Amino acid sequence: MSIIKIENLTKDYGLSRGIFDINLEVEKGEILGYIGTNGSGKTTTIRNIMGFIKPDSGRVKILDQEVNYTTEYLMKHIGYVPGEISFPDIGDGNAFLKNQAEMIGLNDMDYANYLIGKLELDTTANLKHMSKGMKQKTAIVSAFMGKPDILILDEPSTGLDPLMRENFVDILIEAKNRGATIFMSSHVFEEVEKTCDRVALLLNGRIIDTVNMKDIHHNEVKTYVIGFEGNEDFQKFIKEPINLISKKEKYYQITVEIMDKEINNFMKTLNNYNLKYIKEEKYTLEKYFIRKINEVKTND
Amino acid sequence: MISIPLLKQTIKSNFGLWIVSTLTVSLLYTIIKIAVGSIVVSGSTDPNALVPYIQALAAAGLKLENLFVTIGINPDILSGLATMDSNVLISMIFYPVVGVLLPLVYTVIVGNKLFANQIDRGSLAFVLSTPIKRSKIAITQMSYFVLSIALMFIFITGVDVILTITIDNSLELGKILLLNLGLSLFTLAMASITFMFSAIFNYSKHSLALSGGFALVFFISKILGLFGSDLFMNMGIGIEPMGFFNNITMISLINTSSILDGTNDYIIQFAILVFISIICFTTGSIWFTKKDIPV
Repeated sequence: MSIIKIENLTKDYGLSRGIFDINLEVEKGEILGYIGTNGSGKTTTIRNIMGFIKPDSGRVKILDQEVNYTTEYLMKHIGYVPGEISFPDIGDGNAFLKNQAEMIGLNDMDYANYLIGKLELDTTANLKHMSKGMKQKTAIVSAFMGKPDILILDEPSTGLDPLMRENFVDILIEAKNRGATIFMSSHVFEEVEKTCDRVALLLNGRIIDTVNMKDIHHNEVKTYVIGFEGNEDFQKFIKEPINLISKKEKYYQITVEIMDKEINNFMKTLNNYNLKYIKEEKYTLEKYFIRKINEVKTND
Repeated sequence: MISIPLLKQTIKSNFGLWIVSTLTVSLLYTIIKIAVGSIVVSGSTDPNALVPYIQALAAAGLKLENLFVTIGINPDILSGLATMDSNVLISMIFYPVVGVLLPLVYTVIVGNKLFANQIDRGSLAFVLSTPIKRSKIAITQMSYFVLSIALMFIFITGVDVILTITIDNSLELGKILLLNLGLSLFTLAMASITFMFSAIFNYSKHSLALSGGFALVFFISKILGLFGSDLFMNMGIGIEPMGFFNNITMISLINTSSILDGTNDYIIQFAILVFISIICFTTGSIWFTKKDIPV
């Protein structure tokens, strides 16, 4: 069952800025990553999902309800981390979280306190004097504390240090495990790789691809970087019938792509050479993304 | 109708300015009233003392008016000066100029903070992402604005009444109450205008430019208009064409002359202020529920 359904969503700000004909569905319990360069339209999409802005055409449905300015009743199911965090002028983190809890009708602050501990957040700090990371943590606690069924997160880990990013990933996984549906925009490929089930790639306001993370993790083509002891081996090897991606003559180094089923033959071939090193270059979402962007650009 | 947690949030973020404005206006009232209370009104000297001078002029076949004309002063101001009352001077300058200024600043700053500033900074996201209706948000913010202004003037009027009873009783209590009521209705109307601009615009700079612009035009026009007022004309320092400015400032709707003279003209003008408030508060609230809010 799809919890979030985006159909032909277009919000045109002119000069080819905005989002165009976005189609996406997020299933129950799924984490969808929404990746794109700066200004590609991630935040515009999210504002449409939240019903803060109205599309020029197309629609967003949450729990089968078409979202608009007056679907605030849906908000009791939704936790939201905005892309740019600024707090109301009401004192310290505690005061803010308490007030936020009142607004969403939350009485039990146990989970909020757990999150505060997990993120090592000092809630006694004045909101005005909080660092970027602290603000981000406060916003995360505010979005997750009510254990909402749906989480809409706009670059939620911005400003978190690597250690806290790990803790945040734990919190995301916890939410997923209790059945929450999560839509998360990000430009941190690593956390998307660790958490998301599917990833939509956005470029200039259009989705250029949607990938299953399983396909990235279990890619059957592996990339290896091999360094040779000398020029002789290097020159000889590049004449082998192997899928060569790149070579660096200066370092006697080559990069090859090998299908998993050909790995044994490849090893036998390598036996005839004096190697300095061999390492596998992990196939990452980032590489996939960059390749896709280049594909689109060359097609244009 | 209203959201209590949002109201609490709005009170918290605006309380500082409210207390400063309220206390400063009260302090100004106190200083002015003490000053006025200590004035020995010049008109209280015995008019009989003038009789020999007038008789002397008459005996010589001269008129007092002609003496003034000879010196180059419009003789009309004689009647003006004869009827001049320092209380009138204070009431017509103090309430609509000094009394207006701080509440004006309060409305411009708070009005902007109610919506535009929160959208501009993005903090409204934390309210919009809760199950509170947009209309409820608008009504809550409006309620804060109206109540805070009502409380401000209840306090200020209380101070004024105490001052009138204890220090300066030259104006009747009824007129004091009406002057303050006028001031509060003007402030309310101004608040509704800033509320409306704040609800319409998503950027502080736009909302502030318009609200502040109106406030500035109203205030400066009031000062310029004073030169064309009957009061200044009677004192002989008036410039009649400057009276034009009285027509473009909303502060003129606090009709101090009517209140002091005891005529009923002020009633319709108070009603206009209430009408402006209703229109602008309603427009702002409806607009807020029907626009893109990019947070």
